[in-house]
Amino acid sequence: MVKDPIQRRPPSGAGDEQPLFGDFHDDADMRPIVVMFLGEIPRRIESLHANLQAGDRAAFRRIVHQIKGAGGGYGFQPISEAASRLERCLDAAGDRWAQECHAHFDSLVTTLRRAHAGLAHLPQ
Amino acid sequence: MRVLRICHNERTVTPDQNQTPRLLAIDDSELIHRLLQVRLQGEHLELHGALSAGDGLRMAQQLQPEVILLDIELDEMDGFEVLSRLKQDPRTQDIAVIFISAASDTMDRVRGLDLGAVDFIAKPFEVVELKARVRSAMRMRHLVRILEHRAQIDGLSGLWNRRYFDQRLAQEVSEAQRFDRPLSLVMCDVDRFKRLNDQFGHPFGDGVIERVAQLLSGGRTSDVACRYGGEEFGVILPSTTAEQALEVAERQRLSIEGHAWNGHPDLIVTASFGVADLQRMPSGATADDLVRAADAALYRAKQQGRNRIEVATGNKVGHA
Repeated sequence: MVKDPIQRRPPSGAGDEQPLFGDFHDDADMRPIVVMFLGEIPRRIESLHANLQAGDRAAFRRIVHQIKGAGGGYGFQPISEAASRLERCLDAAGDRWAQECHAHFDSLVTTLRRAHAGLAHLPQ
Repeated sequence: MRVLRICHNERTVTPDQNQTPRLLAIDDSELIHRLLQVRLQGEHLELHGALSAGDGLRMAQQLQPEVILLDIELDEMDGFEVLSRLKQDPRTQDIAVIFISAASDTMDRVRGLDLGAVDFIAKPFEVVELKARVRSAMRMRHLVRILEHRAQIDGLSGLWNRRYFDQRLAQEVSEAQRFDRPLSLVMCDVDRFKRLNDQFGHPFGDGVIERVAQLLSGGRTSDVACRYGGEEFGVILPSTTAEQALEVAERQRLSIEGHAWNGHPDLIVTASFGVADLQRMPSGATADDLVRAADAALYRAKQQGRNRIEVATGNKVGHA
């Protein structure tokens, strides 16, 4: 089992983050799926943690890759960029991938939480 | 300039005229499927999605979509393997495949294009670029289908050509034997065609071919009229017995004989016919056997005075 370096840090609540607003903030067509995307962020972060703890590198990378592919499409390019940095790190890392990439993981989770914090500010 | 004219019986209409083009997206991320649904709203297409390579291959075979959007990174097998399998399967080999991938490796793009993909879109995609590339692939697929269709049409008569006749007859023989259904073949040859050419010139001869083609294709929509070669035609009649085929051939013989030729009020053009019925042939008979039988009957019709119909030996129905 691989230790989750993030879990040793004090957890930061979504309310503490500076909200990140996407490019489709005012796009009525996109809003339903943007809301869904943002609403699912906590579950995705949980899945990342679970796979990290289980040491399942392939499953962990798959989620990171999917986030990278989708983030920009939903208007959150910083999410794609953070996921891309983490993916590159994972591809280059050795057996201690969890430790080697924890800074990039931290950065992705922070970006995801900031986007999730923006959910409350979306127009109804 | 000769304009290609296509006889609009049921089976020679250009493909895709009335069908909404289908797009199949194969990607293991639900996020991408949702995004595509919204982003491709308003495009003239029917969007289908598969979340795994296996499901994608199965859906491609069943749906026969015009275009596939294919992710490179999939679970069971990667997109390159999926593309290889699509290209190996005659049912899916001509579908236009666009790779979509979050990977930006140039070698991935090169490998995808070398394997037969028509385009590549990087994720996250710009919506205008996505739409433009999908439209471009749809156009290309449509043009390829038109070319494939034209390659099976005879330029002078507008009927299906010999290549299509051979393929279609083999398919119909196989299905008739499998489902124990009747199948008949009528071979038709314009009588004394060389004399018509010599007397009235080749343009008139071409006109005779065109008109006879129209008369042969103007009957039942289920019949498949083809130009076999020169002044000879083959009409495939699915689910038709020799007796019924004889009636069809007799109507065709009379319509050719009774046709009034512009500028030649006294001219009568006739044709001879040979009919063969698969069910009255030895079991295991092939498409070639059926053609040989109908041709032999046609030869007898010529020998016995032309402008008549003979039924293949073993197909004891008689003659008209």
